[in-house]
Amino acid sequence: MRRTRLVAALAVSGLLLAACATLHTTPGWTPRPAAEPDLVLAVDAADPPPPAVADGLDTRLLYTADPGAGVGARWAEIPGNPRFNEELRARVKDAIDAQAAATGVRFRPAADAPGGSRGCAPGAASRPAAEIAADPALTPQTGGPTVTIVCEIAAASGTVLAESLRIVAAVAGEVLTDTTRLYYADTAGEFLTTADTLLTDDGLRTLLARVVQSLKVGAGALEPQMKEDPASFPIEQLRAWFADFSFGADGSLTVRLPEGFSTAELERLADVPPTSTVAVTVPAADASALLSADGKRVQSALASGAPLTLPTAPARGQEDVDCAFFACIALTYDDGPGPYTADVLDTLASRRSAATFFLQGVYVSRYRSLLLRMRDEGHQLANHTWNHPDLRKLPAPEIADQIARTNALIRSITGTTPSMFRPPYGAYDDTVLAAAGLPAILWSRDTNDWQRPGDAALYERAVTLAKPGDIVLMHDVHQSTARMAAPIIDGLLDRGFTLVTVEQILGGTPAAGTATKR
Amino acid sequence: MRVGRILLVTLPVAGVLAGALLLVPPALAQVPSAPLASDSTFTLGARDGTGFVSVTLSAGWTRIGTGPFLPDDRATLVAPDGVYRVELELVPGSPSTPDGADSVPGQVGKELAAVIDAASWSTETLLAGNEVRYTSCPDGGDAVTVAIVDPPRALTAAHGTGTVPDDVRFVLVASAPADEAPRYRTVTADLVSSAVFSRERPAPSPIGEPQS
Repeated sequence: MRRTRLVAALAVSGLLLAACATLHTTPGWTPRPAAEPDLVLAVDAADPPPPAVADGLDTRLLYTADPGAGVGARWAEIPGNPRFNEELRARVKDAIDAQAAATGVRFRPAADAPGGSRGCAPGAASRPAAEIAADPALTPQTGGPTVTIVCEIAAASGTVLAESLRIVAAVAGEVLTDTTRLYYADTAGEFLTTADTLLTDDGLRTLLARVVQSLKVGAGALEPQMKEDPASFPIEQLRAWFADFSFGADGSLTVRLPEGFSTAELERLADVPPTSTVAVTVPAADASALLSADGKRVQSALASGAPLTLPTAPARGQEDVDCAFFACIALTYDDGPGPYTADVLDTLASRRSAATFFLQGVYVSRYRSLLLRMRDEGHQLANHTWNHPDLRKLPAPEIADQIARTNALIRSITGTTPSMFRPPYGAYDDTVLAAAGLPAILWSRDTNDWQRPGDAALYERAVTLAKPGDIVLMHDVHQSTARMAAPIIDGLLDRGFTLVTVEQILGGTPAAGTATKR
Repeated sequence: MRVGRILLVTLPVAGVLAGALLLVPPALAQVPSAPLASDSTFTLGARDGTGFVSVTLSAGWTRIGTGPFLPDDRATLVAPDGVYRVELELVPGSPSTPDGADSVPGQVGKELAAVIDAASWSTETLLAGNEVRYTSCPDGGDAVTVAIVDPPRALTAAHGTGTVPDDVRFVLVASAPADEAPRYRTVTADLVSSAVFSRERPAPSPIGEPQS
């Protein structure tokens, strides 16, 4: 009976205990904080950084709509930085030469661009290659083989310029190859490197570990640290993965991950976002540890936020221009200087273009400062006689005097002596050529602007009908010609012309006593 | 008549005893034990005695259940703040099954089969060498995380000769209110990361033995 009571009591106690027992908690206890991602992770942040502002660059354009070998190339050079310019131009030439070798069609500069745009474009480095090949503004739509070169200014601040150069080879719009190289250059030429040298090998491995850790944190991994050994990844693989990066204004480093980026441990996680939509940002202080010496210089310069500074550079007319590569054209202005010459000079200067001014001696004294501008801004000063007579009607001594007086005055002002002359009305004979003692420069395209044909007609004659190698005749003493200088020069540049002096387009000074063909 | 009297006395007693035997174990299984007084290891043993797994718990953790009727291979624990609850189970099984191709082993797996049927699984090899496959999914107002931990493959390679069993799997089913669940992910991580498999029952720590 006692045992029965004991069992009953135990049972009742157990039930009571079960009914009454409560969970004791520990006030203040909280879970261990989760690991923070090493890097700032932005999903759906595939948008590129805002376009950099880089005024003053020398935008180059080649456009040849040859069905046998089309070329559309645009890139930006740094005036006064031959190292950078030669590097980029060499890549452009190599691509064009490769196409020529493949097609057997020699490249000839043609200035066939449809117009409307030139220079680097935001997004050019990331735009689908097929779009580039199908864009008539960038690629001649010939139905044949084409090579397209586009550029994008990735960053520009202080003395650092970052420019992507992308080369797309295609046949009838079908992309064959697509390569992009991002250059970082000190504008003054102190260094020139490509993006793949800015991160050290150790920096790439560290970056990999931190990217993986950050993605694992984002995916809710239980142990976010990278387990694989970063050193087991080929360094070229890491460079390819981390090729698309940019520096922020605060010195941070943002890396946009490519499609296909993954590691074995990431592939085993369910919630890793598509990496093509992911950008990771390394804070400035941490980014420095990943960078080479050049990388740190770039980081520092871009973090300054200063506008791009460019070195002192020779003007276009003072450069050695390869007119077998660029589609050269020489604008010539006769009869000045005059009241509109300054406007023409302004237009030329703002477009980094050169021209040749055939000056009448009688007006020179009135516009001495303009002659100095012409000289300093790289234009060619040439002789158009003292007062515009028909030289054929003058005896030899007077012909010589017309030329000599004008040359002497120009020399007295500028310190340089014109080496070419243009006979008024284009009128010359053997006597004129012999007496002048200078080569006679005529023209291949007469705009007849002195007849005031109207803006559209003038534009058509100067731009639409122009061909590479043309020497174009205009007169800066006409207000309409000066007013049309901007649209004409823009139109020529948009077509892919490079505006040079007569001396440049002829490759030197012709022999005295000769005349260029009309 | 005497037999009748005996029956009259003993039948109620037997009824009470039977009732106690039926009602008390389940009741006691819901009774929280006293919280741990210090950091400790907690051990589960396989039913057939072929292996054990231990996890590290900090002070304040509470096992749900008390008395002599608790199973050796399963346990329910509650985190010190009472918000996070986890069921642990050591089940027979082979870790060689391909990722994601099998169902959740053990009793808790059966209970959650419908919930986790369409879940996406992740797999990690932990620093300790354990391989864990896990997923999270909603269950009512809770978020449930299921993790299946396999012993380190390197240590189980020599079947029958290693110190780590190759025929047991450690299953963990954790639940917390859905809006708070992300905070408790580290709790799950710590439990999983601290899991140590052994063939022999480890030496007892302050609560190293199953409470039996």
